[in-house]
Amino acid sequence: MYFVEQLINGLSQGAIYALMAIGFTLIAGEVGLVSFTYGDTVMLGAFSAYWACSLFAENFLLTVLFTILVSSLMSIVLHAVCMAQFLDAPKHISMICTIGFGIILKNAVQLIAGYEVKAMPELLGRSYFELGGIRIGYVKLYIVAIVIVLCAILSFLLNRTKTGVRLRAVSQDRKAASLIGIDVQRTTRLGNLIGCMIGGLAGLLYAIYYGSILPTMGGAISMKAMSASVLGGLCNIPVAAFAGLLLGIFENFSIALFPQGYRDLISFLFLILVLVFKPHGFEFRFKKHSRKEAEHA
Amino acid sequence: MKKVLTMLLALVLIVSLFAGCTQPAEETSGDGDSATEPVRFGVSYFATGTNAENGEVAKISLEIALDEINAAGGINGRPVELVFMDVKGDAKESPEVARKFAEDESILAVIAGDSSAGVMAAAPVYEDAGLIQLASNASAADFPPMGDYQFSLVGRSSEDIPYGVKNVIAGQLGAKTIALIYQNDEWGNSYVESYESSCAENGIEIVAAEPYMVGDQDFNAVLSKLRQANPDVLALCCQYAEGSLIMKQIRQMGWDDVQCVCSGGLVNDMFLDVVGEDGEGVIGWTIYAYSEDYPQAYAFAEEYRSRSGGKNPSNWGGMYDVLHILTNAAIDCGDNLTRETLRDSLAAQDDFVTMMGGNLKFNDDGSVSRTYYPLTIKDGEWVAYNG
Repeated sequence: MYFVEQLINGLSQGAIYALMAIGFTLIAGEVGLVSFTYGDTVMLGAFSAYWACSLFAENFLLTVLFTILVSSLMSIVLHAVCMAQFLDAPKHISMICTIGFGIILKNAVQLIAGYEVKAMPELLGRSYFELGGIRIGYVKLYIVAIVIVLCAILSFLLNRTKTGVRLRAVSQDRKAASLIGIDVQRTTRLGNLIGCMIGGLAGLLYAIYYGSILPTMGGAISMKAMSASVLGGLCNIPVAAFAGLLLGIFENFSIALFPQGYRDLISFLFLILVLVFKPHGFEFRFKKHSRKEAEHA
Repeated sequence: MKKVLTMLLALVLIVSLFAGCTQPAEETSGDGDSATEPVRFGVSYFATGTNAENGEVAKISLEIALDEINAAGGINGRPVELVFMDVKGDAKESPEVARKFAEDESILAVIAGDSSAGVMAAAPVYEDAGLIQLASNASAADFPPMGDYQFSLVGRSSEDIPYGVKNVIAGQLGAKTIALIYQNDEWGNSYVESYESSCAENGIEIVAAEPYMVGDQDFNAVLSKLRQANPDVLALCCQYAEGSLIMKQIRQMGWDDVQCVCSGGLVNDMFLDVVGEDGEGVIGWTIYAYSEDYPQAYAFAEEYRSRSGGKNPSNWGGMYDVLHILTNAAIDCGDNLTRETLRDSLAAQDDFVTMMGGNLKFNDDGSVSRTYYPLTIKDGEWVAYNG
């Protein structure tokens, strides 16, 4: 039963990683933008939700809408300042710019909200069910469900709509995309917007799941989101989500065998080992499918 | 337009970076006459980082003491001046801050509002410079013996935990088994060592001990592991940022048949604010109880609340005592006030008074033996625990 409990812990944590990995994969992999602001985007989403709870008397729907609005506005500014003007420049320029933007976001939230840990209201209650003596909160199930729904929606968007084709075209070759009439600025702005909205929602769910938030939480989050995304091959949203789940399960089972202090050491060792033997992460599993799509296109 | 926006953002970045960084040293107002020049003490503290709220408590407490001291004539007629520097809650920053203070010859002593890891990292620098490092909240037993210039007023983990194990865990709770979850640094490890020896003396078996890293946010896996050991008591050797997350996750997973205990790091309002109802029944012990039973501590707490918008002080309010004790040592130096004479005067202080009462003195190694008070969370407040 102990290992079942650790498996459930791993799935729950993995679902959080998966949710964050989806947004990061969309921005960095599918749209091809460089963003080191993602962890702070998640943090801003969490704080937006916290502020919205005060503004709207803990109304869940209004909290979600406010979080999406703040994340969207932030993504537009981020794109205008750190991405739009550097699309044709070496990637390290945009990279440094997004790092700076992330620092501004973090310091701004610290100045507004203070440095201390904030308790997040239990927007979804604390209802749970028991399975063989193990308590499983419904929040965990909601997060898994949201990950599945987002994977389905984004896969459809990217593979079955003109917008998706434009996003992928811009990612593969911006000049060629521009030559065939695709508005590169508008398309990258849209990709970044969707990615940041998902990041903001991930922040909201993260805050509800753990019940507390901190302005400095973005650093650790971005490392895990990037890890899951890289494990997923950077360009496939369902695989990135799967990699996030796997990372969560692996971490939790590693804690069952080793001290918690080795958690990050073991998970990054796992990441390196996977990349040494499978440099494209777990992407190979979907290669056949991708080739069919390419032939169809 | 984009260039202007970029320039503006760059400016905001620079300003925001400096806003979170070290505060500049205050200007000395002396006219060259040493009899009226301010006496300057350095303060290393958490202005930013995950422990910044502790830093805020420390700063306000020092300011209360500073106002009282200067209103009473300062040190033999010389006003006291504090120079604040941010250690950012990162032990790697502490030696750098120590070097800056050591190089400034006008600084006669440093008050450390830093973690055990931070003060221990900075101690060699202060020893080389012959500069006092007087810590308010660094309880690692290994810290004060690091040198002649290292002092701590908080009491040692080697006394803090034995009190809790003997009087609370074995005495009032009658526990036979205990599990520990601890911060994996000098501070946390010193607590574990202390628990090991105290539990052995009191016939309590440690059935599990699990470390975590500062900044960890998910503790479900490690709590499942500790739950497997089925302890009577779970001891939280944590600071409030992680401790509050652990407490919430204990309740979320439905682990209700374990008694949680903690020492001073969690006995504060910050912990209460985050854990809410999940903290009910937690038992802790601390050296500061700001109740009406202790008039001076209560008066300090009232003044603190008036300056902080109604917040209650934590055990970081001990900074108030630290500045008073350091000032008394400086007054005893008379006209011959140097780093060296101040060190000797501080070490010789005996029978000094804190806001909780008097009759304290420094041990030979620079530590102080303190009295502890058991408290529990009831109806969202820390109240006296009587078993």
